[in-house]
Amino acid sequence: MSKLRSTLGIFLIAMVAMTGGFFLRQYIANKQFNPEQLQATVFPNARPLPEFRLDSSLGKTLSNKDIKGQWTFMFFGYTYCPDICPTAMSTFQQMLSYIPQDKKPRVVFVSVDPKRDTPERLREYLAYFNKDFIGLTGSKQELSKLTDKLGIVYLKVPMKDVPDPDKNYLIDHTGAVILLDPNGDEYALWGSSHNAATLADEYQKIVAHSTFKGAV
Amino acid sequence: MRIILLSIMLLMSAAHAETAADVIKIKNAYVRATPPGQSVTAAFMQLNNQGKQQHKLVDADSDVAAMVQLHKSANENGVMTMRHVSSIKLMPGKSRALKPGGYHIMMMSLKQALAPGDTVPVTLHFADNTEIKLTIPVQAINGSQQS
Repeated sequence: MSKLRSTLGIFLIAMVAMTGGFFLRQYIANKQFNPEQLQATVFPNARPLPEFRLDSSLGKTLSNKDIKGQWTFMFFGYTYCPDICPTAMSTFQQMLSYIPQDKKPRVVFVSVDPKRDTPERLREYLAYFNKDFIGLTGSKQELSKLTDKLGIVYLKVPMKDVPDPDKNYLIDHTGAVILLDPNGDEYALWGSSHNAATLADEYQKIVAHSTFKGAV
Repeated sequence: MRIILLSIMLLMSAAHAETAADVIKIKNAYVRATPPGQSVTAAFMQLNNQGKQQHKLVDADSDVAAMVQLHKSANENGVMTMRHVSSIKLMPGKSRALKPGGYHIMMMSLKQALAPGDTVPVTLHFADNTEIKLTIPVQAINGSQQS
């Protein structure tokens, strides 16, 4: 009888421990990663990008295969912009400083202003922030392959009362930050208004929770 | 006697009609340094209206830029926009921040590169035809994150 009781006791303790362990694990997992709590929108299934070929600040044409093998932050803008774009570039630079060396993502700036932003101009501009930042641009047709898929809009806005309106114009553009996974697919995005610490934190959580854990 | 009365009235009206140049106080002004080849930049600052009337900033100019305009950046449903504005209202007793992502003084066709440590002359023009002359330090883009 006492043997039965102690067996039952051990069994109960084991049950409690297992159940407790299960809930504790769930709790920790939830605490570590809950896409709902991120500012980022993480897609349930990564969305492949269409085939693109764009001129780059590296002096050669880049295509989908060139952005594989590493996580990539992608931002759309133009170098003539004095406010939003330099702020974003500087935010990315700051974000990288919060991420360990072996986990640092690639940063790609896509100019939607090919008329003024030549590959050389992009190289010069981006090197000011970080020599590893890559600039891409191309014809409207080539750009639209990316922008259409990623939901990026841009619109040339003429300025009044300026000399040389061909050179002096503004461009409205979507301010989203896109995260591409090591397959070169769209994995997550952040709407506009970005904070370096938040981006670094959420990026690392997203990567840790992805199936690409080892590959960065 | 009439002359004395008239002078008193004039003095009183002068005391009453405050000018923007007298009551607008500028704080934390900076101009963003330019990446190589960049021909545009922006000036940011806090404008505090310590007067009793509303004033309006209507224009600005600077020797280092061929064109200077008042601009406003905004986030409209995820799209970042920037527009020329004809004036920036300064309400009595209130501060107005010109800051990244909002109002700024857009400086175009720069005549020189601007590096941290440089200073830039900027003149602010107000609706009452008064002006404030500033000498604004240039700050690295990284150093200008505080908003």
